[in-house]
Amino acid sequence: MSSTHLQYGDLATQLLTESRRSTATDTLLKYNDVLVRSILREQRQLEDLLQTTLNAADQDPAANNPKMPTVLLYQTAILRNKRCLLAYHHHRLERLKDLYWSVGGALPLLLSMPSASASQNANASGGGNGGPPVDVRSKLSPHEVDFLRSYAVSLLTLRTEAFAADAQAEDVDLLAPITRPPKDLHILVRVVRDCGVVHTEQGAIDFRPGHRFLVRRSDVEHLIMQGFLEEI
Amino acid sequence: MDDDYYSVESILAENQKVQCTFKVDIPDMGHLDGGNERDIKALSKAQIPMWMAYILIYSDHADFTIPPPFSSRVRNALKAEPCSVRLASLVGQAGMWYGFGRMIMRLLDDMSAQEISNVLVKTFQARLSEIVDQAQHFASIHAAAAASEGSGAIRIGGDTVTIGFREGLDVTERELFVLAQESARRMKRWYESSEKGRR
Repeated sequence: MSSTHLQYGDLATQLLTESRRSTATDTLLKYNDVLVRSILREQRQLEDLLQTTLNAADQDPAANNPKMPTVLLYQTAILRNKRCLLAYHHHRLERLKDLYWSVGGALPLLLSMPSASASQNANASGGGNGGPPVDVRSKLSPHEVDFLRSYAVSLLTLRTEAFAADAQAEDVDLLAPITRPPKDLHILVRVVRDCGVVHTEQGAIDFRPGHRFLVRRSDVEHLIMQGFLEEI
Repeated sequence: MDDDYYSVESILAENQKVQCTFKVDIPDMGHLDGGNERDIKALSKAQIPMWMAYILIYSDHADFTIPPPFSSRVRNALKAEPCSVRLASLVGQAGMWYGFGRMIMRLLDDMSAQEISNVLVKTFQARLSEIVDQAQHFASIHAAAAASEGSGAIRIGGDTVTIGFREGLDVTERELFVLAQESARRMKRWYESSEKGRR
């Protein structure tokens, strides 16, 4: 066993240091599959040790067991590792949910988005941060992608069930940005990234990069949030 | 610092080590001490992280000594002048003096826990006004320096005493410092913009 130089819980601490760094720099780090796996392996080892110690102790009368402290320590280490693992994943899920909302619930876009701009997208789109363009998806574990999908589905259900339009009222858009209430129905926008031809109520508009358009706000709101257009 | 199960900070804080004296032999755990022996012998001492120390102390397998950040020497220094003690350098890496103090409190009996609690509260109260004061001051010094760049008379950051105090801030205090600084800045901005609007 490697614990002669590595104490119990050291690996888990490494994992959480990563979480802290992620919070401090406000970026989504790559899912650390290797570390998570080695912690799970440590868990199994600990469990084996615990089990053998308990089995060995079975022969003695349980009342005054000299191995009791050892058993306690094994168990504490297991619980500690569990807590660390859960906290790590919880922390990541919270980040992912934040990301999801910051792009207005556009899941395919989020997954293919370069991760450098993903975290800044909420306030400044197209920040042009240095570094290789790695998309968000490559930083996620498969389970996290699954989580995002089912999160999106749950939200969709909520939207259709709780906020659907009845006869006269308007639909409530759950994902609408509410930081600044609009003052005008129309809005002047500049195209930052190419998003092709978009069909609106006034007809099709070909949004080419660099061009400016005066359009109805409600038609393009989601495009602004996702960073294709920029308000002038 | 909250004690939430999922709190990353709280988990990392529990890595802080305390000196424990074992009361019983613990088989197969010699490596905890970094030593090469197989078992831990009774009456031997080891530095144990807090998360592991809890269970040992509660189940009466070990005893612990009050760690140096809360020794009588530090307490006396705090009694003399709370602002002169560098709390951050007492606890190393994470700099969570108050958080550590709270964890230690949980391990003590009522009387001594109350004592530590008093030290923590008194220290916090005494330092708070200085923290907020410096935060406001710091913001205004920077603003002034930006406004009149070149006039060399301004000392950015003040003298060595205030610098020392700032470097010695505990994590919680540092957070408060940043908050106070930000609020001073916002207040100033609001004041300037609204003034123009009205007149």
